[in-house]
Amino acid sequence: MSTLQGLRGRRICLVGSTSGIARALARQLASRGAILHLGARDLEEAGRDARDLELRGGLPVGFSRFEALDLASHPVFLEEARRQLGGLDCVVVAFGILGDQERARRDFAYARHVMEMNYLAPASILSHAGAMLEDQGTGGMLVALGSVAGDRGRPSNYTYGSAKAGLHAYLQGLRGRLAPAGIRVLTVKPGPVDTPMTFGMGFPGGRLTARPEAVARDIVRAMDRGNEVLYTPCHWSLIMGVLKAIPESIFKRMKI
Amino acid sequence: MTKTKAGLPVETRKLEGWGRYPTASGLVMRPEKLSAVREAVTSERWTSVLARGLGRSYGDPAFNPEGCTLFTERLDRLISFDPQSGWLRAEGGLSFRSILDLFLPRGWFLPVTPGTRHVTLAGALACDVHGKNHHRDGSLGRHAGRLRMLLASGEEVECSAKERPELFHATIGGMGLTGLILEAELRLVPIQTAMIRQQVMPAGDLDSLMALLEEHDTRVPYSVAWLDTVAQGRSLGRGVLLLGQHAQVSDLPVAHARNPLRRGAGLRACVPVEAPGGLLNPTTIRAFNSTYFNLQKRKAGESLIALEPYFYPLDLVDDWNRMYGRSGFVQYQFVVPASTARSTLVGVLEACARKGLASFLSVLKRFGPGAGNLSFPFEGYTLTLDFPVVPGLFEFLDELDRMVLEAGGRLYLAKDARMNPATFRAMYPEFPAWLEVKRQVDPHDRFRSAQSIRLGMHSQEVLSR
Repeated sequence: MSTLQGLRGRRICLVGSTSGIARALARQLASRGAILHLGARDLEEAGRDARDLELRGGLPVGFSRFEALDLASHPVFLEEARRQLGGLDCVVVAFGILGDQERARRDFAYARHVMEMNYLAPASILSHAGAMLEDQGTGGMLVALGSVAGDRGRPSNYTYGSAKAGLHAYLQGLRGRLAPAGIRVLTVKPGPVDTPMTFGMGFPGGRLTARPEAVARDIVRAMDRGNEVLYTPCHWSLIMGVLKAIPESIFKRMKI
Repeated sequence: MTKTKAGLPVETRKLEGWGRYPTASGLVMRPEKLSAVREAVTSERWTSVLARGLGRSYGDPAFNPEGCTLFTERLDRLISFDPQSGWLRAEGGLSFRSILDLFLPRGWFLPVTPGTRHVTLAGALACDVHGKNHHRDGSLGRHAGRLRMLLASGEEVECSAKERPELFHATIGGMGLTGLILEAELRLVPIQTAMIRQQVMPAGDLDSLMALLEEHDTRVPYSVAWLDTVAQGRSLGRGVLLLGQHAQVSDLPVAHARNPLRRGAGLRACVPVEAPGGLLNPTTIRAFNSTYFNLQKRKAGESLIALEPYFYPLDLVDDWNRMYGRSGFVQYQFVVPASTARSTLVGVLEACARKGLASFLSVLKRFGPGAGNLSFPFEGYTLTLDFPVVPGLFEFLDELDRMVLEAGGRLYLAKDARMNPATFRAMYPEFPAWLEVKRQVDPHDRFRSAQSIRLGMHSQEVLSR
């Protein structure tokens, strides 16, 4: 099995399950009969989400504490998730922070925190998850949330963007390495989504801000089809295609 | 971007109700975690807060222009459901739309529903909404179990008709001013099919329409009458009685009976842009009223209709509130006791005619006994009118207020945008008792809305800025 064909009965671990996109994704996966385990730092929220998903999907949903920056705890967390799920078919990595670029510019310790949350920690959990699926020898899938911000560095968010760019490259490498084992790797590159991460930045409700439910629908479809890179909503593929083609000498003078 | 101490993002937004009158600008937060909503309610960054559901109340009850308005629609998780009894417990931001999506296919329906699915559980309880079955089943609060409230102090308490009953009854219909409803229990009702047996009965004048309502209300769970506000003279108050009851499996055609809970797809439309000058103006409204009456007259008799188009015809048109154009509209809904109903209805309809004002959708219904406190319905007749905001409208509505008040009636707070504080106090004699409860749970008037400030629903003088 190389894709999650049908998703019904697939055992999926959602890491960073209280993020806006992960919540919407979890509801759609639950309604399609996937078996879920939630990992989050806020156990009160994860517990409430789990109960909600059980009532929506009719299947038991487990949860346990996940601490992104405690890298040593990642394998322990995955073991626990696998134990509760009775096996593992897929890991979705959905945590991250947008951070404040102004502050990151003035305070590199903070910039480092943004980088750790968006690159180091996701790379760590993905690395362990990849190894676990490989050991199982049953194929499977890894999904991680990157960002269109990782496609091109911009003055307004290059700390976040550079970490996401690193994550994209890491996922590319992982994809090649795990392909022989029948493990798929899906890189999701959302544009701005109307979640707590972007609320208050002036664009929610604007034309370029997507609803988390729409992004979740795209992700489910891409998981089902076994895609490798997903721009969501799809017009971001076109926008980023154009932006990436602009020569650096011109791009640096553009105010975008 | 501005953030609270714990990094919760807020933004400044244009605020308005469904009628798009009045409007204001204010801080908005959209908590998605309990920790966020707890912080928002007690935060020192603002003097007051208000929870908002999906913003379907018409005037100014669902926003706070001076503090922070909390958009609660993402606190919408299910907590428990008992398939034996139908008791559902969920977070306050859960929408009726979601309840229908999740529970209609399992054979459950809302015990009481307003004319739109786009309301939240907490918002509907705070307005103590009523539906077409009020004469038989009362308003929504009668079907609520325990509420979990987040009070101004940050304390969380449970209340129900048995436990802390004063807080419970002050919260049902309390317009969100006693605290924030974190969780609520609602008892869903079992249904066999997703279809309604509808009966359409035209009536040529007000007397026969009221007689039909009284005759059929005793036997049919859902009843409401559409009123032609344009007809004059002998046809004054003519209308169409629309009766409904849940269809049983045996009522369905054989092919459909195999899958009785299948939902009708329903057409969708939307009003994509602001209608310039209002698609709905006196001329189009007049034309609509006459045409609609004649159309319905021809449809007289019984038919099977899908449940959602029956209860939520306007939900088929997204953003239908834009049809009234930029200046918005107001809904005017009052209830008067049965004893004064006929004369008040005639007086109101004649006043509208004198003023040349026609209402687009006018609905007449009989209410059963009320729930007390600030809950709107009481036994009698309720009429709903809607008017585009035009010069002179508010003076006219003040005139109607006097007629309603003299008849012993009152206005619905969930639709009010303009009544004055003295009228409000006269119409709601239980307000002092309600205020006493508010004073106990919210001594510093932490929970405020534009409406509560306008109507003086506070123990202290809270001035509108």
